Amino acid sequence: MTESQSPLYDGFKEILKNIDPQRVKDVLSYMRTEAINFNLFKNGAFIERKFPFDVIPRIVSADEFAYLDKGIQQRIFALNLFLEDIYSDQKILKDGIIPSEFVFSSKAFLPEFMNTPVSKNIRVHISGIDLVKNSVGDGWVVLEDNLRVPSGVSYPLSLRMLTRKVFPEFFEKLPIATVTDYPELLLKTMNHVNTGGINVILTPGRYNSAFYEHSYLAKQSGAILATGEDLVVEKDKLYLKTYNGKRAKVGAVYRRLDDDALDPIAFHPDSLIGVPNIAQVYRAGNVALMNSIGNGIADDKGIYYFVPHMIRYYMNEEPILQNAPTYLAYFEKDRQHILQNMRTLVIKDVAEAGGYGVVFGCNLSKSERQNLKDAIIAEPRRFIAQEVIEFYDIECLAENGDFFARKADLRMYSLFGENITVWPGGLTRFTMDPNSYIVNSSQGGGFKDTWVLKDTK
Amino acid sequence: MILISPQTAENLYWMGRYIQRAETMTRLVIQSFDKILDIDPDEGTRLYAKMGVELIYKTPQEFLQKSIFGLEYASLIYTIDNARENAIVTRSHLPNRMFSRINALYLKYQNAKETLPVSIFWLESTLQELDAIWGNLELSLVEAKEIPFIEFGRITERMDLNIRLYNSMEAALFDLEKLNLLGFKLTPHYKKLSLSSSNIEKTLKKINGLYYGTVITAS
Repeated sequence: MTESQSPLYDGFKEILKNIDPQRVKDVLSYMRTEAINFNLFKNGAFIERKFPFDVIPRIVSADEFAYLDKGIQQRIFALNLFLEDIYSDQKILKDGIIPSEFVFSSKAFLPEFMNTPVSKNIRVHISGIDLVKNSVGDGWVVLEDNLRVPSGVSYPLSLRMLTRKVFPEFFEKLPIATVTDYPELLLKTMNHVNTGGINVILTPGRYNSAFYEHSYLAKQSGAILATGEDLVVEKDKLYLKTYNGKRAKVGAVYRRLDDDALDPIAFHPDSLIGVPNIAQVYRAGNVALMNSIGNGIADDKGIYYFVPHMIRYYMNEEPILQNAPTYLAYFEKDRQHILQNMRTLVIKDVAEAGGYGVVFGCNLSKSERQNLKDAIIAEPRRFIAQEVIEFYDIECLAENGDFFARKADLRMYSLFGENITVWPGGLTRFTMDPNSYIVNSSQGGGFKDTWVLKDTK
Repeated sequence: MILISPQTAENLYWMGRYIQRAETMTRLVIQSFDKILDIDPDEGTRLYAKMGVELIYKTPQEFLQKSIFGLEYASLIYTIDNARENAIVTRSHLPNRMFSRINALYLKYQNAKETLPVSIFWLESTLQELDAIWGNLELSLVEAKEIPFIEFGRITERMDLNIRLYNSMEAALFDLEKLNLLGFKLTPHYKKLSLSSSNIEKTLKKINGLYYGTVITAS
C-alpha cells in the first residue's frame, strides 16, 4: 500500500504536475556539486558515495506530528530518566521492572561510569527515533531508539535548503513547517549543557561515512569541527589545540564517535581517533559529552522492549507511541514462541546496528534457520524477534519521470536542552530493492525529505 | 584567539598552494600547447624539466592529455584532486560557494577523464573556474579568519613557482612583503622572512619551510 496515495499529497501533486522535469535534474546536479555524501567502506575500500535521494517528500499532517511530538517527548524523557537511574540508584532494577541480569549482561552498560554526574542531568541530548507507519491500522510504530550517535539530520536539511530554491512554489502554497533552524537548536542545546568553554563537534575524520554531516553541522552551528588529534586533556580539562600553540578550553563536545572509540585509555586501546583521557574530564564534570557515555544501554535492542515499562514506571503515564510486538529470547516463554514461529518473525541481533544482523525468518533456508535457532538457544540475551510490520510504501520519482514505490521508514530527531524539542522534519529512508524492508543508508538505502504540515485550522 | 587547529591550518595552506599551482600550470600548459603547435615542439618537455619531471610526447594533443591526466604527481588532475581533498576536510571553514566551485572543478576533471580526449578550449574554461574560486575568497564583507591561511599557501606557491620556473627572484620579492604581512596577522611572534640568497635551492627551502617554522608552531 502506498502512503503517497493519501489525500495529504494532493496539494503536492497538483503543484508537481506543472513542474518542468529539468528542474528535478537541477536538484540532482546540485546535490552532486555540493558533495552531499554518505560514504561507504566496501571490501576494505573507501568509496566516496553520494547519498541517493528522491525529490518527493514524505508528508506528515499537523495532527500526526502533534501526536508524534508528544509521543517522542514522552519516550525521550523516560529514556533519560532510565539512564540517570541505571547509572545511580538502579531503582528500576530493584523494583523488578527490568531483570538486573538483562542490564548487567549488556556490553553497552558501563559500570565504571556509575555515579558520574552529567551536566543538567541530561544524557540524551540528540536522539533519532526510527518509526514506520503501519499500513494495517494506520498507526505509527517505533522500531528503534537511537541515543548514541544518530546520524542523518543534515541530509533532509540540505535537501530542504535546495528545494526551497529550486521549487519555491511548494513553500509558497503549502503550509510546510520550517526546519532550517536545526543548527540553531543544536547550538542552544550545546550551550545549555556547556560547562564553560567552546563548543566542538568531534569527528572520526574525513573517512567516516557521515563526515559531510559533521562538517555541515559545524559550519551551520558555529561549533568547531575537530578530530581527536586536535584535542588534548590537561589537568582534567579538555582543550582545542590551535595552530600557534595556544589552547582553547572546551565546554561541550557533540561527539560523533561511539563509546568504544572515544578514549583509548578508558575504552579500546587501539582507537586512533579518540581523545586520551577525555572520559576523565567527563567524570570530573569539566565537559558535557553529547550524547553521554554509556547511553548504549538505553538503545540496546533488548532494552527497547522495556521502554513502555519505563514510561509507566518513571512517569506514571501510558505510552503514547507503540512498540512493534517484540519477543525477548531471554524469556523462556518468548524464546519458545520465537523458535516455533521463526518463519513469520524478524530476528534481530542486539549487538548489531545499521540494518546488519536483521534477519527475516521467511527468507532463511532450512539449515540457516536451524543455525539461528542454535544461536538463540546458546545466547538468548543476544536476540529479539518482532512481528513483521507491513509498513507503507512511499512513491519515488525516477529520472525518466516514472513513479515507483518503495518501503520507507522515518527517523525523527529530538534535541534535549532546556526543553525537549522534536524537530518538525525528519529523515525518510527508503529501500533501493523493491523486495527489501531494510532502509539503512549503510546498506545502500536512499533518503527523502519529510514535510510536516502546519496546523492551519 | 583564532580557533584553527594545526591540522586545519595545514589543510587550508595546502589548499591555497594547490589551487595556485593548478592556476599557474593551467596557464603554462595553454601557452606551451600554442608554442608546440608550430614554434617550438620541445617547449613542453622544457617546461616540465624545470620541475624535475620528464615529459615525452609526439604531438601537441599528446602533450595536452599527458599534462592534464598522464603525469602522476605533476598532472593537473592530481593537483585539482589535492586541492579538493584539502577543501573536503576544511569545508566547515570555507565559504559555501568556494567549496562548491572546487568540487565542481574536481567533478569536471573526473568526468573528462572518462571521456578523453579534452580540447584546449576545455582547459581554458577551467581557468575561469579557478578565477571564480579565488573570487569567492575576496567577496565577503568581513575577512574570515581562515583567509590568511589560504593566502599564505597561495603566495608561498607563487613565490616557489616564480623562482623554480622563471628564476625570478624579483617576482618572489614582490610577494615577500605580502607574505610577511600575512605572517604577522597569523602570529604576533612571526619571524619575518628575508630573501637575499642567490642560491636557488636554499631560497626555495627557506620559502617552503616558512609556514611550519613560524605560523604553525603547535606540536
